[in-house]
Amino acid sequence: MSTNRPGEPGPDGHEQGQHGGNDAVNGPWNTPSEPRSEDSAADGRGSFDADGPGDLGAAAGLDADEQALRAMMHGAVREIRPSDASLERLRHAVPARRARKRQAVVGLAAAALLVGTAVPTLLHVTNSPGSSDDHPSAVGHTSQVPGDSGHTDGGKQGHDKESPSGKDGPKDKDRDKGKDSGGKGDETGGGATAGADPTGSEMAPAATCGAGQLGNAVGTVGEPAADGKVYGSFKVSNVSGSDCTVAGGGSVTFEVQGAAQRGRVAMTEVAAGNSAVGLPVAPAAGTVRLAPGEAYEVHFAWVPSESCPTEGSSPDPDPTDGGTGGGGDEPGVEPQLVPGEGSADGSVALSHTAEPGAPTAAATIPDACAGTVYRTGVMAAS
Amino acid sequence: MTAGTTVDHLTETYRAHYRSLLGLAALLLDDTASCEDVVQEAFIRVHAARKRVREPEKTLAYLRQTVVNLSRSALRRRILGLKLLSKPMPDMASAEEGAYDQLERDALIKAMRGLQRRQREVLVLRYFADMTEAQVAETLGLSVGSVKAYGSRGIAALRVAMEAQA
Repeated sequence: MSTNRPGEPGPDGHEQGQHGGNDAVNGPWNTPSEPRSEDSAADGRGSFDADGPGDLGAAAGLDADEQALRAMMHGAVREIRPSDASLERLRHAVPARRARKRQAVVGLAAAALLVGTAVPTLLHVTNSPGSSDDHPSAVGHTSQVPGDSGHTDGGKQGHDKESPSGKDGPKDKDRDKGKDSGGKGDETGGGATAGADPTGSEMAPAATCGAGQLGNAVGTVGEPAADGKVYGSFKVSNVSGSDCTVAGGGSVTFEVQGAAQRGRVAMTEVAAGNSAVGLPVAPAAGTVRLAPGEAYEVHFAWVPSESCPTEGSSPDPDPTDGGTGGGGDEPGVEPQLVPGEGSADGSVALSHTAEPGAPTAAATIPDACAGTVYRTGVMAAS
Repeated sequence: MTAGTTVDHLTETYRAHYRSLLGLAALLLDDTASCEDVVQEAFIRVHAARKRVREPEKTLAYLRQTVVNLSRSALRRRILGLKLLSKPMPDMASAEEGAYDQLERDALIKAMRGLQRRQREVLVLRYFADMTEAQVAETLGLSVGSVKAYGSRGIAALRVAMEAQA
Protein backbone atom coordinates (compact mmCIF):
# COMPACT_ATOMS: atom_id res chain seq x y z
CA MET A 1 0.00 0.00 0.00
CA SER A 2 2.75 2.38 0.84
CA THR A 3 5.59 1.04 -1.15
CA ASN A 4 5.07 3.20 -4.15
CA ARG A 5 5.07 6.91 -4.50
CA PRO A 6 1.89 8.28 -5.96
CA GLY A 7 3.59 10.74 -8.21
CA GLU A 8 5.70 8.23 -9.98
CA PRO A 9 3.79 6.23 -12.46
CA GLY A 10 6.34 3.71 -13.32
CA PRO A 11 9.31 1.83 -12.11
CA ASP A 12 11.02 3.11 -15.14
CA GLY A 13 14.53 4.21 -14.73
CA HIS A 14 14.84 5.65 -18.15
CA GLU A 15 13.73 9.17 -18.55
CA GLN A 16 12.86 10.55 -21.85
CA GLY A 17 14.74 13.28 -23.55
CA GLN A 18 16.28 11.28 -26.28
CA HIS A 19 14.30 13.25 -28.73
CA GLY A 20 13.89 16.91 -29.05
CA GLY A 21 10.31 17.32 -27.93
CA ASN A 22 9.08 20.75 -28.74
CA ASP A 23 12.20 21.76 -30.51
CA ALA A 24 11.69 18.99 -32.92
CA VAL A 25 8.25 20.29 -33.64
CA ASN A 26 9.49 23.50 -35.13
CA GLY A 27 9.95 22.03 -38.51
CA PRO A 28 6.73 20.20 -38.82
CA TRP A 29 7.02 16.89 -40.52
CA ASN A 30 10.69 17.35 -41.03
CA THR A 31 11.55 15.82 -37.75
CA PRO A 32 13.95 13.05 -38.42
CA SER A 33 12.30 9.97 -37.17
CA GLU A 34 14.32 8.23 -34.61
CA PRO A 35 15.84 5.06 -35.72
CA ARG A 36 14.61 2.64 -33.13
CA SER A 37 15.02 -0.97 -32.73
CA GLU A 38 11.95 -3.09 -32.47
CA ASP A 39 11.07 -3.48 -28.88
CA SER A 40 10.41 -7.07 -28.22
CA ALA A 41 8.29 -6.19 -25.23
CA ALA A 42 5.58 -4.80 -27.42
CA ASP A 43 2.65 -7.06 -26.87
CA GLY A 44 0.45 -6.39 -29.78
CA ARG A 45 -1.92 -4.29 -27.72
CA GLY A 46 0.68 -1.64 -28.19
CA SER A 47 1.49 -0.90 -24.62
CA PHE A 48 2.37 2.67 -25.13
CA ASP A 49 4.80 3.76 -22.56
CA ALA A 50 4.57 7.18 -21.07
CA ASP A 51 8.19 7.69 -21.68
CA GLY A 52 7.99 8.62 -25.25
CA PRO A 53 7.92 6.73 -28.46
CA GLY A 54 9.85 3.86 -27.15
CA ASP A 55 8.02 0.78 -28.25
CA LEU A 56 7.48 0.79 -31.88
CA GLY A 57 5.22 -2.22 -31.79
CA ALA A 58 2.29 -1.26 -33.94
CA ALA A 59 4.19 1.77 -35.08
CA ALA A 60 6.55 -0.28 -37.13
CA GLY A 61 6.12 0.30 -40.78
CA LEU A 62 5.01 3.89 -40.44
CA ASP A 63 6.13 6.30 -43.05
CA ALA A 64 8.17 9.36 -42.22
CA ASP A 65 5.16 11.60 -41.73
CA GLU A 66 3.54 9.17 -39.42
CA GLN A 67 6.65 8.67 -37.40
CA ALA A 68 7.15 12.40 -37.11
CA LEU A 69 3.60 12.82 -35.92
CA ARG A 70 4.11 10.06 -33.42
CA ALA A 71 7.20 11.73 -32.05
CA MET A 72 5.44 15.07 -31.84
CA MET A 73 2.52 13.63 -29.96
CA HIS A 74 4.73 12.02 -27.41
CA GLY A 75 6.78 15.16 -27.17
CA ALA A 76 3.75 17.32 -26.61
CA VAL A 77 2.55 15.41 -23.57
CA ARG A 78 5.77 14.16 -22.15
CA GLU A 79 5.86 16.72 -19.39
CA ILE A 80 2.46 15.76 -18.11
CA ARG A 81 2.64 13.98 -14.81
CA PRO A 82 -0.04 12.69 -12.53
CA SER A 83 -0.84 14.97 -9.67
CA ASP A 84 0.59 13.96 -6.34
CA ALA A 85 -2.44 12.38 -4.80
CA SER A 86 -3.84 10.67 -7.83
CA LEU A 87 -3.09 7.09 -6.81
CA GLU A 88 -4.24 7.75 -3.27
CA ARG A 89 -7.48 9.17 -4.59
CA LEU A 90 -8.06 6.13 -6.75
CA ARG A 91 -7.46 3.84 -3.84
CA HIS A 92 -10.29 5.45 -1.98
CA ALA A 93 -12.54 6.09 -4.91
CA VAL A 94 -12.54 2.60 -6.40
CA PRO A 95 -13.82 0.78 -3.30
CA ALA A 96 -16.29 3.60 -2.74
CA ARG A 97 -17.63 3.29 -6.25
CA ARG A 98 -17.93 -0.45 -5.84
CA ALA A 99 -19.82 -0.03 -2.62
CA ARG A 100 -22.12 2.40 -4.29
CA LYS A 101 -22.82 0.01 -7.12
CA ARG A 102 -23.42 -2.78 -4.66
CA GLN A 103 -25.73 -0.57 -2.72
CA ALA A 104 -27.62 0.31 -5.85
CA VAL A 105 -28.24 -3.37 -6.45
CA VAL A 106 -29.37 -3.89 -2.88
CA GLY A 107 -31.58 -0.83 -3.17
CA LEU A 108 -33.16 -2.18 -6.31
CA ALA A 109 -33.84 -5.49 -4.64
CA ALA A 110 -35.37 -3.73 -1.68
CA ALA A 111 -37.52 -1.64 -3.97
CA ALA A 112 -38.71 -4.73 -5.80
CA LEU A 113 -39.55 -6.40 -2.53
CA LEU A 114 -41.40 -3.34 -1.42
CA VAL A 115 -43.44 -3.21 -4.57
CA GLY A 116 -44.28 -6.84 -4.03
CA THR A 117 -45.63 -6.17 -0.58
CA ALA A 118 -46.98 -2.67 -0.94
CA VAL A 119 -49.02 -3.24 -4.05
CA PRO A 120 -51.31 -5.87 -2.53
CA THR A 121 -51.68 -3.66 0.50
CA LEU A 122 -52.61 -0.66 -1.56
CA LEU A 123 -55.05 -2.61 -3.65
CA HIS A 124 -56.47 -3.79 -0.43
CA VAL A 125 -56.93 -0.29 0.92
CA THR A 126 -58.60 0.98 -2.17
CA ASN A 127 -61.00 -1.88 -2.12
CA SER A 128 -61.95 -1.66 1.47
CA PRO A 129 -64.01 1.51 2.09
CA GLY A 130 -67.04 0.24 0.29
CA SER A 131 -66.86 -3.12 1.86
CA SER A 132 -66.37 -1.83 5.36
CA ASP A 133 -69.51 0.24 5.09
CA ASP A 134 -71.43 -2.70 3.93
CA HIS A 135 -70.12 -4.92 6.62
CA PRO A 136 -69.26 -2.77 9.58
CA SER A 137 -68.46 -5.61 11.84
CA ALA A 138 -65.91 -8.28 11.41
CA VAL A 139 -67.15 -11.51 10.03
CA GLY A 140 -65.31 -14.22 11.81
CA HIS A 141 -62.12 -12.69 10.72
CA THR A 142 -59.54 -13.88 13.16
CA SER A 143 -59.61 -17.39 11.95
CA GLN A 144 -58.05 -16.28 8.70
CA VAL A 145 -54.99 -14.80 10.31
CA PRO A 146 -53.59 -17.45 12.52
CA GLY A 147 -50.57 -15.45 13.48
CA ASP A 148 -52.63 -12.59 14.74
CA SER A 149 -54.81 -14.47 17.12
CA GLY A 150 -53.79 -12.23 19.98
CA HIS A 151 -55.29 -9.18 18.38
CA THR A 152 -58.75 -7.92 18.97
CA ASP A 153 -60.98 -7.26 16.08
CA GLY A 154 -61.04 -3.53 16.56
CA GLY A 155 -60.91 -2.69 12.95
CA LYS A 156 -59.83 0.92 13.31
CA GLN A 157 -56.86 0.09 15.47
CA GLY A 158 -55.03 -1.70 12.81
CA HIS A 159 -52.52 -4.45 13.07
CA ASP A 160 -49.14 -3.52 14.24
CA LYS A 161 -47.59 -6.46 12.64
CA GLU A 162 -48.68 -5.55 9.22
CA SER A 163 -45.74 -3.54 8.11
CA PRO A 164 -44.42 -3.39 4.60
CA SER A 165 -41.36 -5.38 5.38
CA GLY A 166 -40.28 -8.40 3.49
CA LYS A 167 -41.14 -10.80 6.25
CA ASP A 168 -44.76 -9.93 6.27
CA GLY A 169 -45.22 -10.12 2.59
CA PRO A 170 -46.59 -13.64 2.38
CA LYS A 171 -48.90 -12.97 5.27
CA ASP A 172 -50.39 -10.02 3.45
CA LYS A 173 -51.14 -12.23 0.58
CA ASP A 174 -52.84 -14.69 2.83
CA ARG A 175 -54.98 -11.98 4.19
CA ASP A 176 -55.96 -10.79 0.81
CA LYS A 177 -57.01 -14.23 -0.10
CA GLY A 178 -58.92 -14.45 3.10
CA LYS A 179 -60.68 -11.25 2.44
CA ASP A 180 -61.69 -12.19 -1.02
CA SER A 181 -63.17 -15.39 0.19
CA GLY A 182 -65.09 -13.93 3.07
CA GLY A 183 -63.91 -11.78 5.97
CA LYS A 184 -63.78 -8.14 5.11
CA GLY A 185 -64.54 -5.32 7.49
CA ASP A 186 -61.73 -5.70 9.92
CA GLU A 187 -59.05 -5.50 7.34
CA THR A 188 -59.69 -1.85 6.70
CA GLY A 189 -57.78 -0.59 9.65
CA GLY A 190 -54.91 -2.92 9.22
CA GLY A 191 -54.49 -2.06 5.60
CA ALA A 192 -54.71 1.65 6.13
CA THR A 193 -52.06 1.85 8.78
CA ALA A 194 -49.70 -0.51 7.14
CA GLY A 195 -48.22 1.81 4.62
CA ALA A 196 -47.77 4.75 6.87
CA ASP A 197 -46.36 3.32 10.00
CA PRO A 198 -43.87 0.54 10.05
CA THR A 199 -43.68 -0.03 13.73
CA GLY A 200 -40.80 -2.43 13.87
CA SER A 201 -37.71 -0.90 15.36
CA GLU A 202 -35.55 -2.43 12.64
CA MET A 203 -35.23 -0.45 9.46
CA ALA A 204 -37.95 -1.69 7.28
CA PRO A 205 -37.35 -0.53 3.73
CA ALA A 206 -39.16 2.69 3.06
CA ALA A 207 -40.66 3.53 -0.26
CA THR A 208 -38.63 5.56 -2.69
CA CYS A 209 -39.49 9.21 -2.30
CA GLY A 210 -41.83 10.38 -5.00
CA ALA A 211 -41.75 13.88 -6.41
CA GLY A 212 -44.79 14.77 -4.36
CA GLN A 213 -43.14 13.71 -1.12
CA LEU A 214 -40.22 16.06 -1.47
CA GLY A 215 -40.37 19.77 -1.07
CA ASN A 216 -38.90 22.83 0.60
CA ALA A 217 -36.02 22.67 -1.83
CA VAL A 218 -33.51 25.39 -1.14
CA GLY A 219 -30.02 26.16 -2.33
CA THR A 220 -27.49 28.02 -0.23
CA VAL A 221 -24.15 29.44 -1.22
CA GLY A 222 -21.46 30.36 1.26
CA GLU A 223 -19.00 33.19 1.16
CA PRO A 224 -16.07 32.72 -1.21
CA ALA A 225 -12.91 31.59 0.52
CA ALA A 226 -9.64 33.40 0.07
CA ASP A 227 -8.63 31.08 -2.73
CA GLY A 228 -11.90 31.69 -4.54
CA LYS A 229 -13.49 28.40 -3.62
CA VAL A 230 -17.16 28.60 -2.86
CA TYR A 231 -19.07 25.97 -0.98
CA GLY A 232 -22.77 25.49 -0.86
CA SER A 233 -25.50 22.95 -0.74
CA PHE A 234 -28.98 22.06 -1.80
CA LYS A 235 -31.41 20.87 0.79
CA VAL A 236 -34.60 19.00 0.06
CA SER A 237 -37.07 17.86 2.70
CA ASN A 238 -39.46 15.00 3.00
CA VAL A 239 -42.73 16.90 3.27
CA SER A 240 -44.89 13.83 3.33
CA GLY A 241 -46.17 12.04 6.37
CA SER A 242 -44.23 8.85 5.89
CA ASP A 243 -40.68 7.67 5.64
CA CYS A 244 -39.20 7.44 2.24
CA THR A 245 -35.81 6.79 0.71
CA VAL A 246 -34.00 9.02 -1.69
CA ALA A 247 -32.13 6.72 -3.99
CA GLY A 248 -29.85 8.56 -6.33
CA GLY A 249 -28.35 11.97 -6.27
CA GLY A 250 -30.72 13.62 -8.69
CA SER A 251 -29.21 16.01 -11.14
CA VAL A 252 -27.16 19.13 -10.75
CA THR A 253 -26.93 21.28 -13.83
CA PHE A 254 -25.38 24.64 -14.42
CA GLU A 255 -25.95 27.67 -16.57
CA VAL A 256 -23.35 30.31 -17.14
CA GLN A 257 -24.24 33.93 -16.85
CA GLY A 258 -22.46 37.15 -17.70
CA ALA A 259 -18.78 36.75 -18.35
CA ALA A 260 -18.78 33.08 -17.45
CA GLN A 261 -18.07 30.84 -20.39
CA ARG A 262 -19.82 27.57 -20.73
CA GLY A 263 -16.81 25.96 -22.31
CA ARG A 264 -14.70 26.78 -19.31
CA VAL A 265 -16.98 25.57 -16.63
CA ALA A 266 -17.02 21.87 -15.85
CA MET A 267 -19.14 19.81 -13.56
CA THR A 268 -17.98 16.67 -11.87
CA GLU A 269 -19.38 14.43 -9.20
CA VAL A 270 -17.07 13.72 -6.33
CA ALA A 271 -16.89 10.00 -5.80
CA ALA A 272 -18.46 8.82 -2.61
CA GLY A 273 -15.96 8.60 0.18
CA ASN A 274 -13.70 11.11 -1.49
CA SER A 275 -13.28 14.51 0.01
CA ALA A 276 -10.78 15.78 -2.50
CA VAL A 277 -12.04 19.34 -2.56
CA GLY A 278 -13.00 19.48 1.07
CA LEU A 279 -16.60 18.57 0.55
CA PRO A 280 -18.38 16.49 3.14
CA VAL A 281 -18.10 12.82 2.38
CA ALA A 282 -21.28 11.32 1.05
CA PRO A 283 -22.11 7.85 2.30
CA ALA A 284 -21.13 5.22 -0.16
CA ALA A 285 -24.67 3.92 -0.07
CA GLY A 286 -25.91 6.70 -2.29
CA THR A 287 -29.28 6.55 -0.60
CA VAL A 288 -30.72 8.45 2.31
CA ARG A 289 -33.76 7.49 4.29
CA LEU A 290 -35.86 10.43 5.35
CA ALA A 291 -38.41 10.45 8.12
CA PRO A 292 -41.16 13.02 7.72
CA GLY A 293 -39.63 16.47 8.07
CA GLU A 294 -36.08 15.29 7.57
CA ALA A 295 -34.02 16.58 4.71
CA TYR A 296 -31.17 15.45 2.54
CA GLU A 297 -28.40 17.58 1.19
CA VAL A 298 -26.27 17.66 -1.89
CA HIS A 299 -23.13 19.67 -1.36
CA PHE A 300 -21.17 21.41 -4.01
CA ALA A 301 -17.95 23.31 -4.33
CA TRP A 302 -16.85 25.80 -6.91
CA VAL A 303 -13.16 25.68 -7.64
CA PRO A 304 -12.22 28.49 -9.97
CA SER A 305 -9.51 27.91 -12.51
CA GLU A 306 -9.29 31.57 -13.35
CA SER A 307 -10.75 34.70 -11.97
CA CYS A 308 -13.20 36.73 -13.97
CA PRO A 309 -11.79 39.25 -16.41
CA THR A 310 -11.73 42.67 -14.88
CA GLU A 311 -13.83 44.75 -17.15
CA GLY A 312 -14.54 47.31 -14.52
CA SER A 313 -11.97 49.73 -15.85
CA SER A 314 -12.87 49.43 -19.49
CA PRO A 315 -14.85 52.34 -20.77
CA ASP A 316 -18.45 51.59 -21.52
CA PRO A 317 -20.47 52.75 -24.47
CA ASP A 318 -21.04 56.02 -22.72
CA PRO A 319 -19.92 58.40 -25.47
CA THR A 320 -22.48 57.27 -27.97
CA ASP A 321 -25.18 57.24 -25.39
CA GLY A 322 -24.22 60.70 -24.31
CA GLY A 323 -24.42 61.85 -27.90
CA THR A 324 -27.85 60.53 -28.53
CA GLY A 325 -29.31 61.07 -25.13
CA GLY A 326 -27.87 64.47 -24.39
CA GLY A 327 -26.26 65.07 -21.01
CA GLY A 328 -24.03 62.40 -19.58
CA ASP A 329 -25.78 62.56 -16.27
CA GLU A 330 -29.14 61.78 -17.68
CA PRO A 331 -30.89 58.95 -15.94
CA GLY A 332 -31.07 57.22 -19.26
CA VAL A 333 -27.41 56.41 -19.05
CA GLU A 334 -27.66 54.25 -16.02
CA PRO A 335 -29.34 51.28 -17.58
CA GLN A 336 -26.38 51.13 -19.96
CA LEU A 337 -23.94 50.96 -17.12
CA VAL A 338 -25.63 48.21 -15.26
CA PRO A 339 -25.31 45.50 -17.86
CA GLY A 340 -21.76 46.63 -18.53
CA GLU A 341 -20.75 45.97 -15.00
CA GLY A 342 -22.80 42.83 -14.81
CA SER A 343 -21.01 41.16 -17.64
CA ALA A 344 -17.67 41.80 -16.01
CA ASP A 345 -18.48 39.47 -13.20
CA GLY A 346 -20.03 36.35 -14.47
CA SER A 347 -21.78 33.83 -12.38
CA VAL A 348 -22.71 30.20 -12.53
CA ALA A 349 -26.26 29.27 -11.74
CA LEU A 350 -26.68 25.78 -10.37
CA SER A 351 -29.86 23.88 -10.30
CA HIS A 352 -30.52 20.66 -8.44
CA THR A 353 -33.45 18.47 -9.30
CA ALA A 354 -34.26 15.66 -6.94
CA GLU A 355 -34.12 12.13 -8.25
CA PRO A 356 -37.87 11.74 -8.88
CA GLY A 357 -37.79 14.79 -11.16
CA ALA A 358 -38.95 17.37 -8.67
CA PRO A 359 -38.56 19.53 -6.75
CA THR A 360 -35.80 21.80 -7.99
CA ALA A 361 -33.58 24.09 -6.01
CA ALA A 362 -31.36 26.83 -7.37
CA ALA A 363 -28.16 28.43 -6.19
CA THR A 364 -25.94 30.96 -7.87
CA ILE A 365 -22.21 31.17 -7.45
CA PRO A 366 -21.24 34.79 -7.77
CA ASP A 367 -18.12 36.04 -9.45
CA ALA A 368 -17.50 32.77 -11.24
CA CYS A 369 -16.25 32.62 -14.80
CA ALA A 370 -14.10 29.55 -15.30
CA GLY A 371 -13.65 26.56 -13.11
CA THR A 372 -15.13 23.32 -11.94
CA VAL A 373 -18.23 22.53 -9.96
CA TYR A 374 -17.81 19.50 -7.73
CA ARG A 375 -20.91 17.93 -6.33
CA THR A 376 -21.52 15.17 -3.87
CA GLY A 377 -24.19 12.54 -3.77
CA VAL A 378 -27.06 12.73 -1.35
CA MET A 379 -26.44 12.71 2.37
CA ALA A 380 -28.59 13.27 5.39
CA ALA A 381 -28.84 16.92 6.30
CA SER A 382 -26.88 17.72 9.41
CA MET B 1 -7.91 -10.99 0.17
CA THR B 2 -9.93 -9.81 -2.74
CA ALA B 3 -9.41 -6.25 -1.74
CA GLY B 4 -5.70 -6.85 -1.56
CA THR B 5 -5.43 -8.29 -5.00
CA THR B 6 -7.52 -5.59 -6.56
CA VAL B 7 -5.52 -2.87 -4.90
CA ASP B 8 -2.42 -4.47 -6.27
CA HIS B 9 -3.98 -4.59 -9.65
CA LEU B 10 -4.95 -0.97 -9.32
CA THR B 11 -1.47 0.05 -8.33
CA GLU B 12 0.02 -2.01 -11.06
CA THR B 13 -2.24 -0.55 -13.71
CA TYR B 14 -1.67 2.88 -12.34
CA ARG B 15 2.06 2.54 -12.62
CA ALA B 16 1.95 1.02 -16.02
CA HIS B 17 -0.65 3.16 -17.71
CA TYR B 18 -1.80 6.18 -15.77
CA ARG B 19 0.64 8.60 -17.22
CA SER B 20 0.24 7.49 -20.76
CA LEU B 21 -3.51 7.73 -20.35
CA LEU B 22 -3.05 11.29 -19.13
CA GLY B 23 -1.26 11.92 -22.38
CA LEU B 24 -4.04 10.28 -24.30
CA ALA B 25 -6.59 12.48 -22.57
CA ALA B 26 -4.47 15.57 -23.12
CA LEU B 27 -4.35 14.89 -26.83
CA LEU B 28 -8.06 14.18 -27.06
CA LEU B 29 -9.38 16.94 -24.85
CA ASP B 30 -9.62 20.61 -25.53
CA ASP B 31 -9.55 21.34 -21.88
CA THR B 32 -6.28 20.23 -20.41
CA ALA B 33 -7.52 20.95 -16.93
CA SER B 34 -9.92 18.03 -17.26
CA CYS B 35 -7.31 15.44 -18.21
CA GLU B 36 -6.71 14.22 -14.74
CA ASP B 37 -10.42 14.11 -13.99
CA VAL B 38 -11.09 12.08 -17.09
CA VAL B 39 -8.33 9.59 -16.38
CA GLN B 40 -9.33 9.29 -12.75
CA GLU B 41 -12.88 8.59 -13.73
CA ALA B 42 -11.78 6.01 -16.27
CA PHE B 43 -9.69 4.22 -13.66
CA ILE B 44 -12.53 4.26 -11.19
CA ARG B 45 -15.04 2.96 -13.68
CA VAL B 46 -12.87 0.19 -14.99
CA HIS B 47 -11.64 -0.92 -11.59
CA ALA B 48 -15.03 -0.73 -9.96
CA ALA B 49 -16.36 -3.22 -12.47
CA ARG B 50 -15.31 -6.58 -11.15
CA LYS B 51 -15.95 -8.32 -14.40
CA ARG B 52 -13.40 -6.16 -16.07
CA VAL B 53 -10.83 -6.49 -13.38
CA ARG B 54 -10.95 -10.24 -13.80
CA GLU B 55 -9.36 -9.84 -17.17
CA PRO B 56 -6.23 -7.89 -16.42
CA GLU B 57 -4.94 -8.33 -19.93
CA LYS B 58 -7.82 -6.27 -21.18
CA THR B 59 -7.52 -3.53 -18.61
CA LEU B 60 -5.55 -1.21 -20.82
CA ALA B 61 -8.01 -1.61 -23.66
CA TYR B 62 -10.90 -0.84 -21.33
CA LEU B 63 -9.09 2.14 -19.89
CA ARG B 64 -8.32 3.59 -23.29
CA GLN B 65 -11.84 3.03 -24.45
CA THR B 66 -13.22 4.75 -21.39
CA VAL B 67 -10.86 7.69 -21.72
CA VAL B 68 -11.94 8.10 -25.34
CA ASN B 69 -15.60 7.98 -24.39
CA LEU B 70 -15.23 10.38 -21.51
CA SER B 71 -13.16 12.75 -23.57
CA ARG B 72 -15.82 12.69 -26.17
CA SER B 73 -18.63 13.61 -23.85
CA ALA B 74 -16.45 16.28 -22.33
CA LEU B 75 -15.79 17.58 -25.82
CA ARG B 76 -19.44 17.60 -26.65
CA ARG B 77 -20.24 19.60 -23.60
CA ARG B 78 -17.78 22.17 -24.76
CA ILE B 79 -18.86 22.51 -28.32
CA LEU B 80 -21.23 25.30 -27.55
CA GLY B 81 -18.67 27.16 -25.51
CA LEU B 82 -16.01 26.78 -28.17
CA LYS B 83 -18.21 28.14 -30.87
CA LEU B 84 -18.72 31.24 -28.83
CA LEU B 85 -15.02 31.69 -28.33
CA SER B 86 -13.04 33.35 -31.03
CA LYS B 87 -10.86 30.99 -33.03
CA PRO B 88 -7.49 31.69 -31.51
CA MET B 89 -7.37 30.37 -27.99
CA PRO B 90 -6.95 33.13 -25.48
CA ASP B 91 -3.41 33.04 -24.26
CA MET B 92 -3.53 31.07 -21.08
CA ALA B 93 -0.91 33.14 -19.38
CA SER B 94 -2.38 32.66 -15.97
CA ALA B 95 -0.11 30.24 -14.24
CA GLU B 96 -1.48 26.80 -14.12
CA GLU B 97 0.80 23.93 -13.88
CA GLY B 98 3.78 24.41 -16.07
CA ALA B 99 3.29 21.21 -17.99
CA TYR B 100 -0.23 22.07 -18.96
CA ASP B 101 0.82 25.58 -19.87
CA GLN B 102 3.41 24.17 -22.11
CA LEU B 103 0.85 21.87 -23.62
CA GLU B 104 -1.37 24.83 -24.40
CA ARG B 105 1.42 26.41 -26.35
CA ASP B 106 2.40 23.30 -28.21
CA ALA B 107 2.03 23.78 -31.94
CA LEU B 108 0.79 20.27 -32.49
CA ILE B 109 -1.83 20.56 -29.78
CA LYS B 110 -3.08 23.79 -31.27
CA ALA B 111 -3.31 22.23 -34.68
CA MET B 112 -5.05 19.15 -33.34
CA ARG B 113 -7.80 21.27 -31.90
CA GLY B 114 -8.79 22.26 -35.38
CA LEU B 115 -9.32 18.68 -36.50
CA GLN B 116 -12.62 16.90 -36.65
CA ARG B 117 -13.21 14.81 -33.59
CA ARG B 118 -12.97 11.53 -35.47
CA GLN B 119 -9.77 12.51 -37.21
CA ARG B 120 -8.24 13.49 -33.94
CA GLU B 121 -9.29 10.29 -32.23
CA VAL B 122 -7.94 8.16 -35.01
CA LEU B 123 -4.61 9.95 -35.08
CA VAL B 124 -4.19 9.85 -31.34
CA LEU B 125 -5.05 6.20 -30.99
CA ARG B 126 -3.06 5.21 -34.00
CA TYR B 127 0.08 7.19 -33.39
CA PHE B 128 0.14 7.99 -29.72
CA ALA B 129 -1.38 4.80 -28.40
CA ASP B 130 0.28 2.80 -31.14
CA MET B 131 -2.82 0.85 -31.93
CA THR B 132 -3.14 -0.97 -35.19
CA GLU B 133 -5.78 0.25 -37.60
CA ALA B 134 -7.93 -2.70 -36.63
CA GLN B 135 -7.65 -1.84 -32.94
CA VAL B 136 -8.52 1.76 -33.62
CA ALA B 137 -11.50 0.65 -35.64
CA GLU B 138 -12.70 -1.54 -32.81
CA THR B 139 -12.21 1.12 -30.19
CA LEU B 140 -14.05 3.77 -32.14
CA GLY B 141 -16.65 1.52 -33.65
CA LEU B 142 -15.56 2.31 -37.16
CA SER B 143 -14.59 0.21 -40.14
CA VAL B 144 -10.92 -0.17 -40.93
CA GLY B 145 -11.56 1.72 -44.14
CA SER B 146 -12.94 4.67 -42.23
CA VAL B 147 -9.97 4.60 -39.91
CA LYS B 148 -7.64 4.81 -42.88
CA ALA B 149 -9.64 7.65 -44.37
CA TYR B 150 -9.87 9.64 -41.15
CA GLY B 151 -6.20 9.04 -40.56
CA SER B 152 -4.96 10.25 -43.92
CA ARG B 153 -7.31 13.24 -43.99
CA GLY B 154 -6.36 14.04 -40.43
CA ILE B 155 -2.67 14.05 -41.24
CA ALA B 156 -3.29 16.25 -44.25
CA ALA B 157 -5.35 18.69 -42.21
CA LEU B 158 -2.76 18.70 -39.49
CA ARG B 159 -0.02 19.47 -41.93
CA VAL B 160 -1.93 22.41 -43.33
CA ALA B 161 -2.70 23.72 -39.87
CA MET B 162 0.87 23.46 -38.70
CA GLU B 163 2.33 25.03 -41.80
CA ALA B 164 -0.10 27.88 -41.35
CA GLN B 165 1.15 28.36 -37.83
CA ALA B 166 4.79 28.41 -38.77
